[in-house]
Amino acid sequence: MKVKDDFLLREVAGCYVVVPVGQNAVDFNGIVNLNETGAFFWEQLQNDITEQELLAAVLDKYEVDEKTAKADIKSFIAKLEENNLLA
Amino acid sequence: MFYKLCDFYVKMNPLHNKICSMAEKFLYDGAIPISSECITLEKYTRERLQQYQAMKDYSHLSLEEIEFILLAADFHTKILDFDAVMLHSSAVVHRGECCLFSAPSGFGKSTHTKMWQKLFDAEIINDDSPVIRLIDGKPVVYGSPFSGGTFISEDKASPLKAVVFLERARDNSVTELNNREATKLFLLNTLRPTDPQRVHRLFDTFDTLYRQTKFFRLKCNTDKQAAVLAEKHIYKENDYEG
Repeated sequence: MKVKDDFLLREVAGCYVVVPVGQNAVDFNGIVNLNETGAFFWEQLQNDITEQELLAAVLDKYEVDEKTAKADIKSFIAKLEENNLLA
Repeated sequence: MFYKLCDFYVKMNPLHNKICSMAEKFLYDGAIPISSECITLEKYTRERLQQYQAMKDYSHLSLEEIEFILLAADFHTKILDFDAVMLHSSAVVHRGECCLFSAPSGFGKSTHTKMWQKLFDAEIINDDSPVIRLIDGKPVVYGSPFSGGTFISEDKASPLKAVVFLERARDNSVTELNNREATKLFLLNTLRPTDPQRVHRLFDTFDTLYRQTKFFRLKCNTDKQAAVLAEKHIYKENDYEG
């Protein structure tokens, strides 16, 4: 599982945004706002990883129980699917 | 031909005379200092403009209008390499500082800034797409000949005071924007480049100017009270300076 190429994640003015670049920028004029966790998820998902690997990365980085982390990942991925952002 | 646009030396040779005459007051015939950066804009042949005209998005436009749009886009993209960014807005100078009123085209940005002209004797230096440059790290607003349909543009510069995003409403109100809202609205009202390197430059510039600039949302109707309210909010700290 991975996010589409041709998107750029950037911290700017103290927040995280994802914007399309390349041909993508022509077709998709929106921007995605992320919080810090969302930015971490996005960063991880720039490489093709499994949900299990993402969970491991989250548990490694944040002090969070497995159940909460799983739920967060699920809802994040659902949002990506909804917005057609997965490769 | 060389032009001095926003204090940049710009080389362009437009095909259409009207573009040349519009840019006339920006013409530069002095010597270009050796150390200075020079921006060279694309040269569009009649054939190339006709190719654009055959495309759906451009089919209702004349070749002259297409050339103008392409040159403007090229300019607004290339300046990103030099700590500068365009914001779709009407730029008005009041008490020696510039406020940018931004909204999608057709909203009535100019209607609002014309009220500032009338009420406060403020000066509109660009009516559609002024450029913000970081000069010694400080944001400064410049007029340029690339100014949408109305061609109100002066060869002038002024320090940036505030950026205000306009929204239509029945009643007037002003709120200060947080970083997320400001970033989002700014990005939606500038020309976003497709080249990742330039996207980074755009973000670098925005980051620096964000830290020194107040961002507001002005919900407004077309009554002059909207301008009175906005002016009061934006310039309020002056009341305390005596």
